[in-house]
Amino acid sequence: MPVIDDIHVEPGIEEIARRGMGNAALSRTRVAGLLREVLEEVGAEGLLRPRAAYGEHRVEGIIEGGFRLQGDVVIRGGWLPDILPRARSLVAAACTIGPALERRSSLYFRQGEQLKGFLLDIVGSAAVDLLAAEVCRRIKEDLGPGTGVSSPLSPGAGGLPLSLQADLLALAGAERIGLRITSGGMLDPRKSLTMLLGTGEGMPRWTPEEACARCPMAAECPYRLREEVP
Amino acid sequence: MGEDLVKALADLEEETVMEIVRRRLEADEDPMAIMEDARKAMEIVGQRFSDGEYFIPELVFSGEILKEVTALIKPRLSASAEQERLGEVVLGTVAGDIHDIGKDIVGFMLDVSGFKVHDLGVDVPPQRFVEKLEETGSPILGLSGFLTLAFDSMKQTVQAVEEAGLRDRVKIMIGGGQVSEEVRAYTGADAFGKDAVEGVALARKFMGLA
Repeated sequence: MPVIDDIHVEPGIEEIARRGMGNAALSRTRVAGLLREVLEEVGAEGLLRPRAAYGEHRVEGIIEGGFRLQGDVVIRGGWLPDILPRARSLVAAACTIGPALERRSSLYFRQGEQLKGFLLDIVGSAAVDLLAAEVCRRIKEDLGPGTGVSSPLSPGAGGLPLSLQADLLALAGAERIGLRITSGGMLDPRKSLTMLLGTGEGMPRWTPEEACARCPMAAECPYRLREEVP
Repeated sequence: MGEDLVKALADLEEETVMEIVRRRLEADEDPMAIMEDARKAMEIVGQRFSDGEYFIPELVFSGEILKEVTALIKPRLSASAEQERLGEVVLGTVAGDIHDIGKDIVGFMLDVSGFKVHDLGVDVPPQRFVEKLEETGSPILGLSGFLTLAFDSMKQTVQAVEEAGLRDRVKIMIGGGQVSEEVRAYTGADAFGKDAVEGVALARKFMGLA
């Protein structure tokens, strides 16, 4: 089960703008200046510490609402078998940018610098998305050119229940990258993501924007991906 | 002049806002009239946010401008006006949930909108909310929870408030990524808000100001 700790992510203004920033804010000198300042701070102080872990698990059979994997491990949730009916194996992956950025964001809020804190939070969200995309690319690369890999599914989106979070962390071996789950079922550090990918022939693919648009929260989510970029 | 301030603040023209406020203060205008114009502007900001024209950064930016306006005006306000708050709100993210950003934004917008906010942080056990409500006498409790897993904690907190005999005098609003009328009914809260603008509107309504 590999650990990846050599990924560099550097969200640019464009990625950040697509996650819940309107033209009105970006066109204001102070907001745009603050965003540049925040990005410089992220780089200079190493607030992004990306790490990922993943594990590939052979599918032994389809059961009601899920899969039986090698080692008699069962994974159930949502419409999993309907989404990946032909999966030969499932890859569980977990990635995080570490706790430094979110701690700094909380600090800014406590100090009364709300806008700076919020911009930092958006940078963190954009960084996690970039990291996840790169982890998927690495997994595909590791599995070899002949292996079909699906787009990633994450708990809480795309029909996968949040209760799957703990299973995915275990299957990915996420404790090796310092990622844990709280008693309330949340990832800690918060700026983290778990994913499940199917491998085999005819695996379904979709773009991040398509996945975002299908989410029940698409209309009001502050982090939704928008097509138009200022 | 009043319309200028309303438009400038609603359009997030920070420098223009501060210039207008300084000019109006130099002209010995009633500071409360300036604050009233700022409130009207924030209503427009809230509407633009609800319409999807503004996003959270714009909302927070408007709050920061309002904070600057308030700081300029504060020395001119009478002691009683300065101390006057619309109401008090006990706020926190419920037990088991460590998300703070949404709660922090709601707290900030409540603060700049004139409420005194007692922010208990994240992962707050029900009893801690009860203790703070008893200590402060706050008539409003705001519970935040981002994920569906937080709904049981919200329900337990509402029950704890009931068991402490405070339910009759405390209005409870919930907020977070996935709240809905079904969630409100499940938790036993009085109302739910989908964002900071709705949170402020609910608090004003609870205080009989809407």
